[in-house]
Amino acid sequence: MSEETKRLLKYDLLCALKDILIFVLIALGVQLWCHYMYKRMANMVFLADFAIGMPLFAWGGKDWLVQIRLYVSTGITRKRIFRVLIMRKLLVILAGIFIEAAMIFINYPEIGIKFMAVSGFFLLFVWGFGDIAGVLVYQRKKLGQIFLIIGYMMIGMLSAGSFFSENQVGFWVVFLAEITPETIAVIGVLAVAVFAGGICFAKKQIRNYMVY
Amino acid sequence: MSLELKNITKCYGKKTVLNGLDLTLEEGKIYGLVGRNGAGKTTMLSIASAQNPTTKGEIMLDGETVWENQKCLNQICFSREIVNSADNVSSALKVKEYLRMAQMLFPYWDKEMADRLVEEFELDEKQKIMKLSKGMQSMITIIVALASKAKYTFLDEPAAGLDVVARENFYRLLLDEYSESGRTFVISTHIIEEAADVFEEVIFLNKGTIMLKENTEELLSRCIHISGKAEDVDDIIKGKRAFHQEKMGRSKGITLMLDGGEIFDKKGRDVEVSPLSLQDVFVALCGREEKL
Repeated sequence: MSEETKRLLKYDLLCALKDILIFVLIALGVQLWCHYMYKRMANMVFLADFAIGMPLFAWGGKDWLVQIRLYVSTGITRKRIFRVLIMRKLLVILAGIFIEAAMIFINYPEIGIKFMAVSGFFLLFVWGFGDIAGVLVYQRKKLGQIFLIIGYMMIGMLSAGSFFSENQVGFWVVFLAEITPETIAVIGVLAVAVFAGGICFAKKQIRNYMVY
Repeated sequence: MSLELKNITKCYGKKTVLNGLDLTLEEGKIYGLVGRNGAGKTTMLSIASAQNPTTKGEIMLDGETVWENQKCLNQICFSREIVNSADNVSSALKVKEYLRMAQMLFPYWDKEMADRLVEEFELDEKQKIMKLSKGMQSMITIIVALASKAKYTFLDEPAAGLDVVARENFYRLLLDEYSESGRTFVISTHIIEEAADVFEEVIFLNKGTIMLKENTEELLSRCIHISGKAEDVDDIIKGKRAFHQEKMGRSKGITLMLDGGEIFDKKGRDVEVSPLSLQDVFVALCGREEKL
């Protein structure tokens, strides 16, 4: 890895950790709220999905409006910036999936594989959808704002399922127990398509990124 | 070593901001970039630093293309004017966060110099940039430009909002750094008169093209103002490049640009000849040229 990439990755990860920390604190707050108000624990996996999914999605917009602008302003090539953004998101997703895997196989060994697959596809979808929304917001298109709202609502709704869980078994866990492998495959294809579309779209647009 | 802008055209939608612009910036000079509002100064600097892509043309540093070339980009810093707006991300950061970002991302960052300048400008590092005055925001762009240690450093309106003392400080710091390092600076400004002594060369940008690029002293030596009776003035300026005509009754005043080495001849007429300041020259040239 070149010196420039290392330097940029270091700075980028520092910014990313700050963002993740905010959502981890929100997730912990929700957990405490559930515990004291309703004497129940929110589903930890969904909260992890929230703590990783939210920043992952939010980075779509933030990267295009903030980070890329700062990096281009300091004379870093667009190619290198794009590579570092991918590295950051990949690192965060891998770390998230690793934590989730541990929690899933401890709490739900019977639906472990299904849970992991759906969770992984969810994160890929969020990444791709976030990038599409981010580019559109950067291009000042109204559709970008609409996508942002839809994205936040989707992640919020998914996480909300965990608030209504009883002893870690909520709507989503029951749903996952019932879901067929074919349905998971369809979800996977859709998620991978959105992810790939998002990455290609972002890669194409970053070539002509302008600092206004 | 030189930075060349070759046949640069930049369009924003249907609007052409730069039109086939050619410019060579040599190493070890302080250039003053002067132009009216909307002339394309910021666009030119952002293109020269590869912050924006061109519509046509290319930027070369020592024969290598600058676009997406990290080696070349490491030699260029364009410290933009910070504008308080929802779109501007820099203004949402604290001073220390902004400087830390610069420290981590600029390859030749001089932390000692940045710290010294923060102290000298009496900046509160814990303040958010958007809460600072316009002058203090300009100080931050100056710190970033100077401490970046980039061989080619561009400053966009660095004196905007600075008080007289701070402006004097800025010019002193700039000259100190220039004499110590021999870096190239391009400074866009509207405060022409004050900065004229600092500029080794001036670049006049008008309607997206380079109108003039010349050594400041030489330019001033060949620009003169002539005033007197209209018929005397008209007779003298025949066949010369005359600009910016002012009439008052039977009297007339006009700006003349002599050719290099040309000595002005009054032809025995009773006219008054006076030197011009850089600001006068700019005003005259950006007015209407009259071939007489």
